[in-house]
Amino acid sequence: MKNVVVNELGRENDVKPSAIFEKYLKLTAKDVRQLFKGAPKAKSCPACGSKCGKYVFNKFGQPYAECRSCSSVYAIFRPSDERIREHYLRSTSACFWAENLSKSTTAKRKVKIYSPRLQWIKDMSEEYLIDAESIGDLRSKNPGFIDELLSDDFFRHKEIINPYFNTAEAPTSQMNLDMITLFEVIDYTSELSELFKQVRARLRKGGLVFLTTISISGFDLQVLWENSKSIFPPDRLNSFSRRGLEIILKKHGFEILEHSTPGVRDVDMVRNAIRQEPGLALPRFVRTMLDSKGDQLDRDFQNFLQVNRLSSFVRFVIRKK
Amino acid sequence: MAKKIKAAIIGYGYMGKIRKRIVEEHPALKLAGICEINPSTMAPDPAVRCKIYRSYQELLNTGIDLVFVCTPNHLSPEVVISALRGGKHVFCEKPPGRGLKDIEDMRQAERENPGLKLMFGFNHRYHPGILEAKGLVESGRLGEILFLKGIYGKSGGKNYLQSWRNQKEISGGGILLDQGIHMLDLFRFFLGDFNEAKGFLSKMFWGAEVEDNAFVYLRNEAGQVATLHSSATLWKHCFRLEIFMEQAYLIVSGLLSKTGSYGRETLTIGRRQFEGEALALGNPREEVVYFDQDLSWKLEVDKFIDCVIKNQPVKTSSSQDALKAMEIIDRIYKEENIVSGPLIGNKGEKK
Repeated sequence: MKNVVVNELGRENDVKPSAIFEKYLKLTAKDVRQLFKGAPKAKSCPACGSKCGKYVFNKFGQPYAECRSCSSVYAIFRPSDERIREHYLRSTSACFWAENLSKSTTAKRKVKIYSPRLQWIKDMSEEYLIDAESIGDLRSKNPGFIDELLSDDFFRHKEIINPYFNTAEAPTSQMNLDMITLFEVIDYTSELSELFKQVRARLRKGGLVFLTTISISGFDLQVLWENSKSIFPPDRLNSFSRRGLEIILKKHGFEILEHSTPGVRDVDMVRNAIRQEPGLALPRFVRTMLDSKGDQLDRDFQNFLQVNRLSSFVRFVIRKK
Repeated sequence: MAKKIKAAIIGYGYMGKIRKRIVEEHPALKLAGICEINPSTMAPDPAVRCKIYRSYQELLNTGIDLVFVCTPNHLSPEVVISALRGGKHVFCEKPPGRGLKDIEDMRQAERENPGLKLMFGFNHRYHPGILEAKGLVESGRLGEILFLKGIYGKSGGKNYLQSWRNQKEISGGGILLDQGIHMLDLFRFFLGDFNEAKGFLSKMFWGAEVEDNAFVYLRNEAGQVATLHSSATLWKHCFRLEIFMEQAYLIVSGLLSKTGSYGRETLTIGRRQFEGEALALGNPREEVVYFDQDLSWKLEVDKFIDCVIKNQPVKTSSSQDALKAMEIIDRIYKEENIVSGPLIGNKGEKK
């Protein structure tokens, strides 16, 4: 299993300008009340199935639990995936995201996220599935990567399956695909087994899945915990631990080819949190470290996180057995 | 269930032990015997459950199907030739003997026995960093290779001078033949054959009979250049292959090994950036791939066994590959430009 490290330092503000993001959070907090009305309670940890969940914090009025077995964190109440999709298609916050946040950061996201992501897929395709011709993006809520994918001619057949954003109905087929992308999809999926059932149904044997997510085992989430602005419903209904992620992928019949945490913004996110809330309770060492000036320490530390798979941004390449 | 292929190991030193593990793990192979003439090497070992032989000829007469030849360089040709003439498939460790004549003799025995397979142990081709780099090069998306730079070296240990590897009669050459040959094989893996070879050899520190440093310059017909520094005086084990291409550079650094002394195996991928000349920072975004599993020993044996089972010609790490690597070494050795004595005193001897 390989681990990819990226020698780059990212700024949270590049992809989430704080003023716009704050507004998005406020709107989401309002929408969440409606979305979670009558939502059933999780019976067990969505990663490992353990029933030993322990309440840890509230986000937008929604309680989260930490699994005592695999350390994943998840929202205790679970709206259905249909309702979550509806939320991303019609809610005020989702419309705000599409109209404001997404549009204002499109250029930066293209350079920092979407183009490298497509490059990653091409490289891995040439390494592990040289004859790959078809690819499908599943349940994505952001059109940015889709635009990148559709404008590229590397793959002969491209599908957008069950999108969570408003788009003209894309042609779909029932063919077995060589590759499927799941970008941050497991973060807002209620029924993971249904999601993986859908993935397996559309993927050929030996086909690859490119999956990204935000893991609770990562630096900024471990340090900031309930103060992290990355954890909130429904965007992060789940934030799985490293162990939880490995359990999920193995349980659903996938072999892990790459497990990397090429995140570039962990340190910046902690810095920003302190800037916004100077009194935030943080480990002394983290404060001492972040008191230092200049990029070099941030770079070195971010690199250390990546090398040791400790950044919160996680990516996997997995192969259907 | 298909009948297993009966395999034997001749020479049970460091490499023999690695081959034993690979043979025992291979589903198509059954370990039928080990030959080791040195009693101290072949100390009683509960992990060895097959018969032990003191004579390789005796082992070759036991109905085995193939052998792994893991002997010192001076013995390899004789054993390989006997095995081929005895009707056995042969996997032989590098280097393929002590010089050109040895590999030519082995190839002659191979030609006399066209149904048998002969492969040499150039396992570096199967290291994960090399495999991934090769895939990227072959994708064509990074353009053509401009040049290769390789460093492969080690720190000679306390008993460096006493090792058979530094006794010319046994080894046939120094660090270039012993370790540098892997990098030469990788150069050929990426750039094919070279028609020019130049080099400097030096006995600059250890004062052994054979070179402790080699600097090799190769060029092929397309004008692509490869340079190698093969060294026994690096003091820190080092493996580094830099592949400079039209659109990117790839650097394989470190090697997964039992001791980890070559460092973590990584592949760095940097893509050329098209900045304005005034803004050309020369510091592109890089991706570093860390690998955590070395399957090279297994993969090369899988390939060999595949050729045996399917009766296919050996196309990689073949005797032709071995010959080509040896031709380069032969040319460098024949240039007779060895700096003959230690430049800075014979410090190796004093130790």
